[in-house]
Amino acid sequence: MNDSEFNQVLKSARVPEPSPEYWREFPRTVLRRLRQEGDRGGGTEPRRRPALPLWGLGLATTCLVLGFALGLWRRRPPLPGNVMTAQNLTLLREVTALFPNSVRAIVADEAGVRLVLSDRPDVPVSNPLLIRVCRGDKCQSVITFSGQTVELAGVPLEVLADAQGHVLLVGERQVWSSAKPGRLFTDGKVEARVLQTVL
Amino acid sequence: MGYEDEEAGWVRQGQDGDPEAFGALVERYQRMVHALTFRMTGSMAEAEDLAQETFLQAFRRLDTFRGESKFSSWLCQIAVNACLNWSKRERRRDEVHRTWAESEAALAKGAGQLNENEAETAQRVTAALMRLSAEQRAAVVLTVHEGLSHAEAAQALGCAETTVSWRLFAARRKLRGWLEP
Repeated sequence: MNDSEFNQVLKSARVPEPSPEYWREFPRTVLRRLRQEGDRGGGTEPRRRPALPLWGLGLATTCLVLGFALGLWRRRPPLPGNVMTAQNLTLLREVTALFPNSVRAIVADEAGVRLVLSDRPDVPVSNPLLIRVCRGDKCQSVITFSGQTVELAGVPLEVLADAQGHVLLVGERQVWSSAKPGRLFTDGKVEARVLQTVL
Repeated sequence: MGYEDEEAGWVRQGQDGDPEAFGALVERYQRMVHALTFRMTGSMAEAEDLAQETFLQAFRRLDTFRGESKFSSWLCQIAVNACLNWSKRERRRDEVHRTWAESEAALAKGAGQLNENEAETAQRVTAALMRLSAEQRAAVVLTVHEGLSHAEAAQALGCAETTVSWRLFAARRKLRGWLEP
């Protein structure tokens, strides 16, 4: 059953139909309650916004907290490679269990961690690959699979793995291989490897 | 005057404190809100209360509606959040789930609108929807039943679009497991 057919099945869960009298009466009931609230001093007019919007205060607080957290995070010493790998693998296992054959990539950068999913479960099972790109003090880590196209530092690149466990990054104008790691970006460093031979 | 112009007029008058204009909006959207609150709670009695609550809240917050989204989407947002709060507050999902099957079967046959098979499918689907978590059910109700896009549903639920996609994906997987032979 495809998604569209399945949606039709879901829509068959019908809603009981009250009487026409109920529909006539319902708006009156709502208005009656609004008037009752007005009589109790709540006023029938919609509430007006305060001069200093609450969302403004909330936004300012959030910015302060985020700024503080980001500052602390940047000062934190980097995790050892084996700990990073273990964390990556745990994350990957959890996500692929939730979305089998649908995970195209997990991207971690300054903005946080985000998941790139395929519309259909058409991503073949293969060894996960870890790619890390650093340009200046900005780094981006991507876990993906051979055959997927990912955006690294804003450049779309096809990721391929060969039988020897080397990773190839193929763009429109450049090719990079972990077997002979040259420069992919003029001002950046790239590392790529198979994350684990068996997921 | 067009459908949308008429609605915008009622909204403006409602924002100026005219309850009668707001009554016209209630009349236009009462079925949509009842359907949503029923699908979220599985109980017509709760759906009625929550529909009233939705419109009362909508009137109180009407000045925050800026017309950046459709009025119906804005109303869905209020309704679904009222239902999610109800779910947290009441913790009556299991009880509702138990009693729902009997009342729905009686309703379906009593109304004579559905044949035996259709009534059984409808009953199974609603029972399956009620087994989902409130957040997953909200994602299904907003996108499948109310026809909101993932972005609109995300706005209604106050979460990221990807979160809605995740919840939908997980919900569909469960529902397929429960409903498909």
